[in-house]
Amino acid sequence: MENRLRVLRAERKWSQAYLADLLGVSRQSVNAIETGKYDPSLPLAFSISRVFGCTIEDIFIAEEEPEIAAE
Amino acid sequence: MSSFTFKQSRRRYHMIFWPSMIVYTIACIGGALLQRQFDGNPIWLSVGLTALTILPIFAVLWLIWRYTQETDEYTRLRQLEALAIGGLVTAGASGAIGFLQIYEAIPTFPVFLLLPFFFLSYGGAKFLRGEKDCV
Repeated sequence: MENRLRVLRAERKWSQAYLADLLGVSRQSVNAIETGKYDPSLPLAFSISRVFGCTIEDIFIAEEEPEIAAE
Repeated sequence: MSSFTFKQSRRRYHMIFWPSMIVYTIACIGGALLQRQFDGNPIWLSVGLTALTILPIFAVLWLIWRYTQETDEYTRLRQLEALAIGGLVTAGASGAIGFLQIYEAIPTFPVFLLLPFFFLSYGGAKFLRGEKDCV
């Protein structure tokens, strides 16, 4: 899943370590999410959105999903 | 999510890990020196030294489990992967060594060495996967 974490962090001039402290996770976790190696759980995604003051959809870009047939 | 932050869980890990390792090291070195002082091995000495060396080992194993539960989700995933790799490598090695012994291809192998072998493969897996800074 793609995300705008690196961009949002850079806009605020925050280091990975600072963001990790705000979220209570390791710097490696922030790096893994930014580089797309790891998709965070829903609670962590909500924490990230709270820290940046925006919605989850503003940060994480969902991949194209196959259309669900309407019943 | 865990009720501890990553830094808190890491601090809690180190607070018990290092004292356990100090007790373990003292027990190993001191035990060997103490045994030389006695003719034969009095049972109280054998039991005492065994307890002093085993307890820190179990403490560290419990500590690894507690850290795995308390740390953040990404570190937990990496930690579980490393534990799985360490466990699988050790299981494979113990099976292979066991059969080599049964068919007398190698002399008797001390089972004790499987523990450091596990920690070596577990630590190696963490290092190779780039998570050496996580604990």
